[in-house]
Amino acid sequence: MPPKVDLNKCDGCQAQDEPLCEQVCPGNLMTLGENAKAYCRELRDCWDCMSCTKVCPKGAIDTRVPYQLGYHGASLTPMMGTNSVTWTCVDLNGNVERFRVKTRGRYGE
Amino acid sequence: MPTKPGIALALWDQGGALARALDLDAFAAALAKLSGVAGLWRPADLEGGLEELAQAFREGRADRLLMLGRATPAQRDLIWRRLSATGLNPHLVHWLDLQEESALPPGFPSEPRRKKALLITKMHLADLRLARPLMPVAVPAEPTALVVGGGVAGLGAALALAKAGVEVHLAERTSALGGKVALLSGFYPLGCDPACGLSFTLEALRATGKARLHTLSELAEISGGPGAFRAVLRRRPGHVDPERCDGCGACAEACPVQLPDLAEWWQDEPPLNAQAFALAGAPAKAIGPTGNPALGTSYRVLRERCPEGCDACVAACPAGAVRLDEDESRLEVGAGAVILATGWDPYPLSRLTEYGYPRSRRVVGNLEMEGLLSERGLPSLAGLLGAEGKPPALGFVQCAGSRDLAHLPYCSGVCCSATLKQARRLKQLWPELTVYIFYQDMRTPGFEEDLYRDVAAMEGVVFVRGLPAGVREQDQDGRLALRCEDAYAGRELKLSLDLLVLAGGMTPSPGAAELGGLLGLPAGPHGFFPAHLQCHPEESGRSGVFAAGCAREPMNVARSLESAARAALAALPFMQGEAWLAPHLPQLDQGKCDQCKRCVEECPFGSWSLDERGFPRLDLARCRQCGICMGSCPLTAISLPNRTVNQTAKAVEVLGEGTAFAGKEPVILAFLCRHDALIAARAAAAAGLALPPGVVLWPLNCAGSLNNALVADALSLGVDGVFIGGCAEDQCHFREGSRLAGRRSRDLGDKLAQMRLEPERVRFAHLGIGDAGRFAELVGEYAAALRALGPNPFRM
Repeated sequence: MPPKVDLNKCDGCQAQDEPLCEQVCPGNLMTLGENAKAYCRELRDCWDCMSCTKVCPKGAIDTRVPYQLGYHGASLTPMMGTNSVTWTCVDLNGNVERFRVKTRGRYGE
Repeated sequence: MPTKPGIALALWDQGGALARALDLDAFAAALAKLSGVAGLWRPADLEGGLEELAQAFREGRADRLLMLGRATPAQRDLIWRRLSATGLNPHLVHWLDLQEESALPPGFPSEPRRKKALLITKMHLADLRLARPLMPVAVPAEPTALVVGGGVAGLGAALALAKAGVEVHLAERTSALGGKVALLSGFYPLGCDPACGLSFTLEALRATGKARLHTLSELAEISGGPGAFRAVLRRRPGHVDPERCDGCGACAEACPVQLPDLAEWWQDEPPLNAQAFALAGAPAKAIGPTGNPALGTSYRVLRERCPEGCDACVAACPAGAVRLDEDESRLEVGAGAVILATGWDPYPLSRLTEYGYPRSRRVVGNLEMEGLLSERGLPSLAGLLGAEGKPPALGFVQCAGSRDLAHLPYCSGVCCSATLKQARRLKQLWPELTVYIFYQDMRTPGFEEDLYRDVAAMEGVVFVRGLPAGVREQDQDGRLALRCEDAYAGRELKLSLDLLVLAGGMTPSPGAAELGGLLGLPAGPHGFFPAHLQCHPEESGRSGVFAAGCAREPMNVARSLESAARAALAALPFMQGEAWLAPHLPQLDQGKCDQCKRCVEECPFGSWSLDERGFPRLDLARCRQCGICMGSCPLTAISLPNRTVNQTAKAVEVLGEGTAFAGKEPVILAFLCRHDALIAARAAAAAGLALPPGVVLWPLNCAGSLNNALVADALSLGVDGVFIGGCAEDQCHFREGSRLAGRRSRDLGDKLAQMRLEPERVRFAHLGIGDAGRFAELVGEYAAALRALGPNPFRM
């Protein structure tokens, strides 16, 4: 399910012409609207790769978990460290699971 | 095979504080086993004890040093002098006072205490291991200054710089030098004629042979950065060649145009009451001298006043100096630094509708009063004061349009003393004159109080607490009738006055806003250019641009001159051929950069711009090395050398692996701004205030330099809470750091809530440098809150 942008948090990467989510989206789906907030312009084409969710410096983007994986209420939230991503997975019953995944090469020496 | 040089560890425990707090031998043994450590030294004294340590650096066994223990700044200097001869780089030396770092919490059993001390040492070792030797960076610095504004501050700064051997270009918008000060009839408290000081300055400036004074010139364009500005000055035509004109006056005699009023005396669009200036007796031809004659005559033509086809002045000039067809010209100059001395403008008093300015010729501003009190103005003034048979009386309205939310909210600080000076002069000239001073508060700081007392003691000077209402011209004799509620006497006064002087305040000069836009200089709330008035008054919001005089804030002449000297002194390093910069200049990893431009947006000093490929490029000399860009980068592509994200990440990793030291206590990683919060925290720890045993301090260059990724690291590695300490919001030395840090930590708190973690695991607080007790309190509360939340689910 496609990314949802929290309009209160998104600052449009400070009104620059290409926000970060637009830069990282492999499908070139994210862009800035007239209100200078990011949105996904072709919801059906989103692959749920979560690149935009991970990269957003304001934490304004949420990727809804596809219903095949978890019904409404479930969520998957990444938190980016310097060389790790910490995932929090909440299912529809509110059970929480967390994973810390080391990433290699993101921040070299 | 020679081994790679390692880190020399030195235990410096002259006072014995460490030995009292720890089993020092066991601690030393544990230290010596740490990886990357070339050896452990325990110098016993400052003399021979350091020799062995120095030997290790000389022999290449070690190339960096971690000093553990407490030393005064004098001892540190001495130790550094002993060791610097070995070729050790100063940026590879870390001092770690374990007690100050709260590594030895009192009331913690000795075993965990040693563990904590060891852990903190390991964190600093991890940081130091990745440090690189650094050298100051030189950038070219052109030995030329550009001073914008030819008033008293601009001339003062130009003289200071010219005397220091710098070439100075001074651009003055009007046709005359001296600015507003040249219009004054006397300074308080002595009553000196300002032309005296100004002509002295001008003469000294010309004597240096270093200054080029461009009148009628404005800054049109500017590019480049500190050390290498390129500026274009635009010169409006004056139509008289200053190199040929000898000021004989033949042209003015020949000129057929008699101007009805003063169109241009000191600038093209006088915001002053033209009527009053005409009274002051000004040049009245379309060609003539401008400015204060004591400062040297400079002729110009008011071309827009010339009758069509007239060239009487051209024919009359014996020197052939008149150039009626002269055009605007442009001059490109290079400059190492820019001094902004654009001065002030009187508040437009016509906005004070209640006083009838400028409709009545009997209502004038305080600057016009200066004109009337000058030699040329005195006859007009005498004419105004002499009404048939009635005793002459004159009133001053203080704070006319100042300290008033509908006009200027601030106090200009000079108008009270200026009024007293004018009142004293008036009483000297006309002892029988009655002077009313209507005021809210008389503000005469410092020795100006003497002037106030002198004037208050004069007979015929009446201070009325209250502002006049209902000023109108009486029909019969043209004098002013006004009413005023006297708050102290508790009654209404009805007065008949010859003249009312409005003591108006100062506003930024009209060109200032435009100039600020040109230089990218953020203006303060009132349109002046203050940056950090408390500590660095000369600094503007842009490196290499310095504000002097009233461009910075309203001030009197003496303070203007001082501020000019201060600005010149601060500008000088940018004009020495080369400028030396500290080596913590942020570096961008283009491989990681996604061109989001957040660094460009968030840098408070405009140091980043985009290169032709869209990557951020740093103007080295503009950068203040705060690290706010490092904190802003969502991809952590920017790092300050030896303060890198990676170094801190490694230290955080060490902490994450060692959270067990605190037992059941919450582990708090306190990221603290090294200018304020860290000093407060260290003072708290050194004073033995009760800090939670699990708190670990980590220095930041500015709270704004903390990247959220590091906080995420700490939390995902099991640190229970991250405390971020920044300066008070409006006190951040780097302007925006504290504010940005607060905003970023709130963003992260929201993320934590999404993660079903408690947002309180990140806490941001403003701390002052003296807030040791408050730090202990805040961090104690925080530990209690974290205890209530329970351990971080990531804690191992």
